[in-house]
Amino acid sequence: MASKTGEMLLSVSDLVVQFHTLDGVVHALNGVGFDLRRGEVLGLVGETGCGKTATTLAMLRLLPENAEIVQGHAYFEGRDLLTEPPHKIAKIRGRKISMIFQDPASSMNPLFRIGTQLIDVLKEYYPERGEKELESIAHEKLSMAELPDPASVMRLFPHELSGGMQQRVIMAIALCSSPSLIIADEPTTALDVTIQAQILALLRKLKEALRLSVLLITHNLGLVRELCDRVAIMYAGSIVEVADVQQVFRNPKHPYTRGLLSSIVSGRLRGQTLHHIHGMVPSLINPPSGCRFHPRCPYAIPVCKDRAPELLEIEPGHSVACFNMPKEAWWRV
Amino acid sequence: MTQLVDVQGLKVYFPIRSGAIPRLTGYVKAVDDVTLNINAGEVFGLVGESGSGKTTLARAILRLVTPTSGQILFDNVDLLKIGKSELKRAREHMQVVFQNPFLSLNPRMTVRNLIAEPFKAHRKISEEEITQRALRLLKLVGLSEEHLWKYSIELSGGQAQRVCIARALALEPKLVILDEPTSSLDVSVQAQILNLLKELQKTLGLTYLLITHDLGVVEYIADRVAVMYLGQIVEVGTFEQVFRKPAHPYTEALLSAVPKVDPTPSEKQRIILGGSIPSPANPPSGCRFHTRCHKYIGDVCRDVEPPLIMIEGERRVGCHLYKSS
Repeated sequence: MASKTGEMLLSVSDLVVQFHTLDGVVHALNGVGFDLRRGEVLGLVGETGCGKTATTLAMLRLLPENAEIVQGHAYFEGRDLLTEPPHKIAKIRGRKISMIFQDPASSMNPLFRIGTQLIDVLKEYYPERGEKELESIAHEKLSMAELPDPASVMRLFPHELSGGMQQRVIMAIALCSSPSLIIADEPTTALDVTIQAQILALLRKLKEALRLSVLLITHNLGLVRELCDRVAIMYAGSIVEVADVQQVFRNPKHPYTRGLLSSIVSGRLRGQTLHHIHGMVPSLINPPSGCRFHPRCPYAIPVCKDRAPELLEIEPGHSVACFNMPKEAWWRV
Repeated sequence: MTQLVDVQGLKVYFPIRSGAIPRLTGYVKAVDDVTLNINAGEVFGLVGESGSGKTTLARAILRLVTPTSGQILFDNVDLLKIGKSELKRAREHMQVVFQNPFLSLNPRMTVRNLIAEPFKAHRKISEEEITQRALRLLKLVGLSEEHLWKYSIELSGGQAQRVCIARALALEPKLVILDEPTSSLDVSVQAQILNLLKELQKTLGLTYLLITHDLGVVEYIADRVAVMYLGQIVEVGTFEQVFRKPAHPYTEALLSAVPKVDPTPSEKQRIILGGSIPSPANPPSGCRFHTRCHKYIGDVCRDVEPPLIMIEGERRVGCHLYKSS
C-alpha cells in the first residue's frame, strides 16, 4: 500500500474536453479531477465511452485534432502538462510518463526485431552511449520484465512471441526511460486469464521495486481490487466517486458505483436475477442536465436535475459526487 | 434425460502447407478426440483459453467446418452422414449467437429484414406474416416496435445483441450456441443480456452450449461445464463439482487466475502457471498440460496421455493424479 502522505506526482483538476464532430459537440470530459501520489496505483474505472482514455490522452496532449481542451490543469512534478509548449511535452512523454496499451501487437512495428525496437527507444534517452552498451541495457530491461532468455528474444520479430511475451516486451520498452509514472490502458484485456495473472504479478513486482506510480485504466473491477491502492469511478465524463479500494468495494456510496458493483456476474448469485442499472449511458452530445446520472438513478431528487453535484469528501479519503450524501458533508464546504 | 447432442471421438485437423511449392507439412490439431454430450434443456458451459479449440468444436457441431473424423449425433441424426437438404433441415434446430453483434448484423439491412432472414431461408410465409413474427420476437427479447425499422448502427451494443438473440430464436430452435455472448459488452449491459438469456431458456425450454472464457458467467448460468485445453477436454462435471472442487490442475489454475472482486482468503493464494499455451500444431507429448503443470508427478505425465476417466458420478477428468472409481 502506498503511504497516504506520499509526495504528489500528478494532480489533474477541472479538466473539460470537447470533441467537435459532424453531429455536434461531444462533451466528453466535464470537470475531471484526481490526484496520484508517488508509488501509488490509481484505478480509473468506468464503462465504454465514459472518458477514461480521453482523460489520459488529454494529459499527454495526444488528443486528435477535433478535440479541444476547454479548461483544466494537469500538474505533473510541478509542471502543467496542458500549458507546456509541445517540445517540452515531448521530453516528458515517454521519458517520465510511459504508456502501455491494450493490444501489445499493435504497439510494435512488425517489421523490426525486438532488439532493434528497444535500442531505437534507448538511443533517444542515451544518445551518448554506444551500440554495445545500449544492447546490454536492452538486455537488462527485458530481464526486468522477466522474459526468459532475453538475448534470443532480442533477435525475434513481434509475431514470433505469444501475447503474454509481447506484453512483457511492451513493459520492457515502457521501462527504458526509467519513468516515474506508467499509464496502463487495459493492459490485460487482450490476454487469457492465466497470462493475465502472470502480467499482474509482474506489474506488482515492478511497482514495488522501482517505486513506480501507475494509472490503471480498466473496466475490470476484479483487476482493480487486486492491483490498485485507490479507485476513481467515472460516469459520462465526470468522476463520481474516489476512495481507497477497500472502501469502494465494502462501502460504495454513489448510486452508480453501487449499481456497477452489483451487476458483476459471479457464481454466488446463481438462481437470482442479476441486478442492472436501468436505461442506457446517455449521449454526450446532449448530456442530461445537472447530475448526468440522474435519469437512471433510483435515488434522484429534484435538485439532481438542476445542478451538478461537486465531488465532496464525506469521510477521510472518500469523496462522492452526489446530493444524497449526509448533510454534514455539504456543511463542510 | 434425453441427449440432444452426442459427440464421439471428434477430430478437427487443419492442414499446414508450407514452402514455395506448398506441401503438406503437418496439422493443427484444433480439436483432438473430443467426446461429450449435451442433455436437452440444460446449459452446457465450455471454457478454456484462446486457442484451446472451443469455437472450432462449436463450429464442427454446426457443420461450419468439416470434421476430420468422429461422430456428431444431433437429435439422433448423424450430422456427418447426411446430405445437404437434410443438413439444412437439421440446422433449423441449431442456431448461434456470436460475440460481436455488429459483425453479425448486416449494416445495410433493417432489424426487420435481419430477423426475416431465417424465415426466408426455411419457411414459406408472407411478408406481412414475417413482419408480425419479427415484432413478436423483438418483444420477446425486450425491444419494441420502434426498433423494427432501424439499422444496426443505430442500436447500442446491448440492443444489437438482443436482435441477434431474436434472430437466433426465430425458427424455434432446440439448441442455441452462445459463443462469448456477453464478452464485448459492459458489465451492466452484460447483466441485462444474461438475465434475458436465462429467462428465455426457462420459458422456451432451450438448450444452450455456452462458450466463454468468463468463468463468472459460466458459474452463474451453466448446469454442466467442460474445460478444454489444447484441443482436448480435461474435465467435465456439474458446475458445483467443477467450480467448488476442481479436480484437474489446469481447472484449478484457471479458476484461481481470475481476479475476484470479493476474494475469500483461499482465493488470494493464487496459482500462477508458467509459460503460455503451446502450439496445437506441435502439442507436448503425454499429458498436454505437463509443460505448465504445478502438480507434475514424473515421467508418466510426460510419456503417457491420460484418458478421460470417471471419478465420481458423471464427473470425468483426464489426469494421472486420479484413479478410475
